[in-house]
Amino acid sequence: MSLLALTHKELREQAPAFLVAAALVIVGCLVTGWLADDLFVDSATFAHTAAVCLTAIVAIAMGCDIGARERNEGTQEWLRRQPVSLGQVALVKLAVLLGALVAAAVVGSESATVASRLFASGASSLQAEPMVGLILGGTVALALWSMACSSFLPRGFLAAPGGACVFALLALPAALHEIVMGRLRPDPPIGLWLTCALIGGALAALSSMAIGSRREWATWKRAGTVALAGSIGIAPTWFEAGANLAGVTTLDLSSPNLEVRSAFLHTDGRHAFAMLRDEQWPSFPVVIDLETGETVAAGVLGDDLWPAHTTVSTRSNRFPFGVLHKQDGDSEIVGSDGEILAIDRAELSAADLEPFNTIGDGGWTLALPAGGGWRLSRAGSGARAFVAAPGATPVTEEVLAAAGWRVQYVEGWLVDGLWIFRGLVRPSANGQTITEYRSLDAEAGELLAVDWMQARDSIVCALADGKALVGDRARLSIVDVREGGRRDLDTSGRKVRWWAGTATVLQATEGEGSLSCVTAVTADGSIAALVRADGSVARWIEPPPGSAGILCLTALADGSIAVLTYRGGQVLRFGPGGDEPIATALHW
Amino acid sequence: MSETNDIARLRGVGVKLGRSEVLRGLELGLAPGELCVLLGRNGAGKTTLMRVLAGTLRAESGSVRVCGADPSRSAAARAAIGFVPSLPDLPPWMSLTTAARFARRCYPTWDDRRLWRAADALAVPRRGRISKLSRGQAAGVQLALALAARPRLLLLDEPFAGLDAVARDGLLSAFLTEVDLEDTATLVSTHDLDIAARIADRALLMDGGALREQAVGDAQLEHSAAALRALLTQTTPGPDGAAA
Repeated sequence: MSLLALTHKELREQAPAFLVAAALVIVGCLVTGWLADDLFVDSATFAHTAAVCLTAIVAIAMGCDIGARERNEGTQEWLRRQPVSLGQVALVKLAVLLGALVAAAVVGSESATVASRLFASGASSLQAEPMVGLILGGTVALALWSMACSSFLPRGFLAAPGGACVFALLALPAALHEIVMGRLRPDPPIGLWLTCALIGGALAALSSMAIGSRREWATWKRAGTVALAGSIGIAPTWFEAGANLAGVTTLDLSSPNLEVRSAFLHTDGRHAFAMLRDEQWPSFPVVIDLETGETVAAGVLGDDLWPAHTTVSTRSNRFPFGVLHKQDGDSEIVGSDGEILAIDRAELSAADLEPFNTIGDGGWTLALPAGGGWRLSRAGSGARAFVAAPGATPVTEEVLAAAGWRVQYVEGWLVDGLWIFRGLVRPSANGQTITEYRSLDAEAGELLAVDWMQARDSIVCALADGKALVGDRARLSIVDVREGGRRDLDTSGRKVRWWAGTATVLQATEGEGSLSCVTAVTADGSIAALVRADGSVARWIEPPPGSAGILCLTALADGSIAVLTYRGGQVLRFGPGGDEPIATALHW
Repeated sequence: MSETNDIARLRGVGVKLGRSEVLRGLELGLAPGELCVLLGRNGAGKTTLMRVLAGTLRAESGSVRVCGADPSRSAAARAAIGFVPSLPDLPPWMSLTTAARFARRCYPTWDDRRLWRAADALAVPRRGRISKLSRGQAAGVQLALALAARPRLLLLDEPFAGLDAVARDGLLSAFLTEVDLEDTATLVSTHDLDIAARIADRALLMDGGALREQAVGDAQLEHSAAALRALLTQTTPGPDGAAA
């Protein structure tokens, strides 16, 4: 019961500071929502900024007062006479302070959300701001520090100038952004404001220490003054920093600078996993519906502050997923709706994954679960088994050495159940490093010579019936991986600089059965070729000038071909007759 | 009266504030139903003695027991004490009602009827903030709160200082009406010899941090009052010059 009484007392005494600060931040949110552009107002940065801002103000206003109040008010003796321990009093004060900080974060966030709903035009954007948690954690520490310091200040009203010093400290993150990222540098007026806050806060703190103040103000005046000063000192710099941060961490699909950095088609033939960016960095992994242009974020972006190294790669032949590799080396499996899927990777086998990609720890090799499938490990990584098939003898370093391979580098492709390897090897101890190709007979566990691959050849696309598209920089051929026959594609006079990207198999397009698509870079940019099973080109698809090439394409149910372009973030649809494309802008 | 029945008992209590020895070797017992008046000049140590008994100041030597426990360490002992300070020290935003709401949850023997009866007798507003009340009204609020807790030990530290005659008589009347004269030990510090003579069962004369005289009965009280008058006319300061 006594704890209840103490809690009620503390809430009653600290309510003015909280209410004044909350009122100011709510008004601030409404004004900001009205004045600021949608990119900031409709982003999570707005809510985060308001939450941090109000929490910081409450941390100062209450932290400076709650510990020193009994001495300031002359109620220490009264409190000591009560049949409660001072430990209980301290505990309640601490709990009320922490509770108020949580409430401040919620009120600030909700205020911004309401303002966003009222004033934003409905645009949506991606966010990646785990730093907010760090700042809020720091604010809690600051509140505790203020509370401890305020208990040692010799005069009542010293809480206010003491708090002013902390205001300056709280304004520092805005300056720190300048160090972390130049583009977050405050604008000149805000920079001046920040400088004044720093100087004023320091002067106030020094004067309070040197001179002190005996002026006795009522509770609400003192708390209100601290909250008001906190709002004026903190809010402008924080909201400005938040707006700057939003410009970096949000992805504006309507931006003229929007680029699709990489993309590949989902197994469902309709969605594409892509990396988008509208500034220099970071890039955002998304899933794009190639029929409608609707875009969703892939995975939980908030897990990474700067997802510059986040990439979407690896698709499955059997499961509708892509793999989202994150900066910290971890990875998530995401579906076509952008949600993270709970798939046990130990259940995946080689057939579930499209080769020539990576799943697991990153790197350039195909690393599959050891239990039921294949494992191709990077030479020198410490793994002893290079290639292993169930029931077959593992191809170890010793096997490779027996074949004359001293492996510097190895990569592989799985085509129709046959592994084809390219190794950077030294035939002898003193010999020069050369590139050689081998195929692996899984049952025999032997490496066989491959004579139809030539230097710099890569397998661009695995086709049906044991065929594959093989290309170097300027030549694309269709081969039978078991028989070894090879026939070059007719480029119809186009001068191809190099064949690029992972080819896509299009099903039942234009009544011609399965077509494979490969992209090629020509002097005019990236184009796509639809290739028949016999190796002839059924059709060339050329995006309009300025789009800078094709990254991904698919055949839609109506027979049209949808193409995702590199620049501008557009989905182009080409009709069966090869007519002018219809552009669809990406949208959330 | 037997010492074992004493509600409050001080043995050899010594207190230093800074370098000043404010209390030294103090021996005192307060029995149930006893109304004791503490007399002494400024700086004699009266308020310090009150604070030691209330548990807000810890004795450096000797022992302090209220209801068998050290009030500076025992919340239960503090719950048995009612205290009316010379100056109001409730949080200024509190009113009688809000202060009672707080105290009701802290004091197990809380009695609302006694609170409102005392408040009516003292004519204090129930909802007026302490900071807005007159000195007499604020003293009345604190007395009403102290009485409502049904204390075993009631300490009044110069409660009549600064009050006009009407307010002083009202306070005194309410106090004498509501206090449990049989169960409660009361210690009142005052400079007012007339009040001391009117209410005291026993008068204690403090000087230099020690009890100089005790007087029981009218004749002794008269003698004690005379001693205090003589003390007040002395020009020499207390032994340590300390102000209590």
